[in-house]
Order: sequence, then C-alpha cells, then structure tokens
Amino acid sequence: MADELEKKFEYDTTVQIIEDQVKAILDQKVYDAKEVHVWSSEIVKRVLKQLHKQNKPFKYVVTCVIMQKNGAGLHTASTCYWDTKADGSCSYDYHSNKTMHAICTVFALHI
Amino acid sequence: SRKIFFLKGGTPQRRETMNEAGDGSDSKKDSVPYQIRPPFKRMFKPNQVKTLIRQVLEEELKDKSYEPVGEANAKITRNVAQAVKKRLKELPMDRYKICVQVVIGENKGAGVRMGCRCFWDAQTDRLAKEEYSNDELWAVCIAFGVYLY
Repeated sequence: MADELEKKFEYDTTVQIIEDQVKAILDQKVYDAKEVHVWSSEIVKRVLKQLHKQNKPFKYVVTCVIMQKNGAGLHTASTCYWDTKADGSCSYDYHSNKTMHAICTVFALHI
Repeated sequence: SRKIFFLKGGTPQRRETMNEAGDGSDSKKDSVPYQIRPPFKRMFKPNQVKTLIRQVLEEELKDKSYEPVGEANAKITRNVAQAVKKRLKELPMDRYKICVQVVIGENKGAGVRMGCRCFWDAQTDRLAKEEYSNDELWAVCIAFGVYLY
C-alpha cells in the first residue's frame, strides 16, 4: 500500500509548494525588466529544491513565465506523452500582483 | 537464462546467458538485460527537435491573430501542442517520455520572461525550445525529453 502511494504524483502538495515560493518572491514587487530574470530563476530554483526535498523517485521539470500586466493576453497549453498512472503535472497561476502575472508549471516524471 | 558449463581445455567456464541460436556465441545485443543509456541513434536530439518545432509553429501560427475573448485562442494553443507532440512521437526515440509546453501571448509590447529548471539525468534527458512571432502574437514552444530507465 505504501508502495502505491509512493508511486503517484501528488497534486495538492505540489501546488502548495509552488504557491508558497511564488508568493514569497513576487509579493509586493513591481515589474522591472532588469530584475525579472533574477526572479524567474529564483522561483524555479526554490520550487525545484522543495520538490527534491520530498525524496520521491521522480524527475522534475519546472517552468515559470512572468509577464507584465499591460492589457495583453496570454495562453499556455501543455501536452505530455507519459505513464498516466504515475506521472503528473500541475500549474499555478499568480495574479494578485498589480503589475505582473506569473504562471509556474511543474512536470513530474516517475523513474 | 540458463547456467551452462563448457569444458575448454579442462577448466569449466560458466556462461550466464545463452542466445536464441543456442550455439553459445557471444552476441552482446541479445543479452543486454537493462538499458540505462539510449544508443546514439535513439537519443533525443535537440537540434532536430528544434527545427521540427519551428516548422510546426510556422505552419500553425502563420497569419493567425490573437482573439482575447472566446475559446479560439485556447484551441489554437492546444492544437500547436498536440501537433508538436504528434511529430515528436514519430521520431525514433522510443523510450522517451515527452512533455511539450506552448505559451502564446498578444504582441502588445509587454515584457515577458520565461525560465525553467530541471532535476533529471543530464546525460540522457534533454530539452529543445523555439520562439516565433508575427505582428499580432508571439509564441514560445519548449519540448522536454526524459528517458525511461
């Protein structure tokens, strides 16, 4: 039974991890073209570190898109060719900041 | 696999596996038990995948414009992702799991930054990305190939 639980990708804990890290870095910040590369690197680095701490037998891919709020629209889509029972992805959309949007996606692939 | 003892000049030599022919010939191809690295021909090749993605983006998004309201844009984004995945499945990389992510935005002068980081086996797993833009929209497509052991 424990083995079954180990195998699956956990959506809720992962979304919580992403939300915590994105909010920690982007809350109260104003979009700055010079700083944004630092923020996006920090977000992916921290999310990856937290995921790795869980010690699960997964490979991870973390992506983050940060966009200035300019009235322009944005769409993302993803599709994967994998083992539907063991692998999973989740995405978190951060929009509570007045000057920017951020979308962070995690793909977790079972080894 | 059977354990077989051959007598060669008096000393027994143990063979762990035997191929179909049963003649004891050592064909390494048949007795490889567990592949942990893909052979070069079956690797995910970033340059090849990059050109493939570029072709798909140009084909799908040429002369398309961004519709802010309605489902049209969501459908286009999904179609691009499905098209890239379909073409990647046709390539000879059979033990690879594939993730494709497509981001399409309206070309209104907003600043955007996209970053990614991966925790995987750097010798076997790769990514390929490509950007495309026209007057109305910009698009980024990134494909990850992760080897299944």
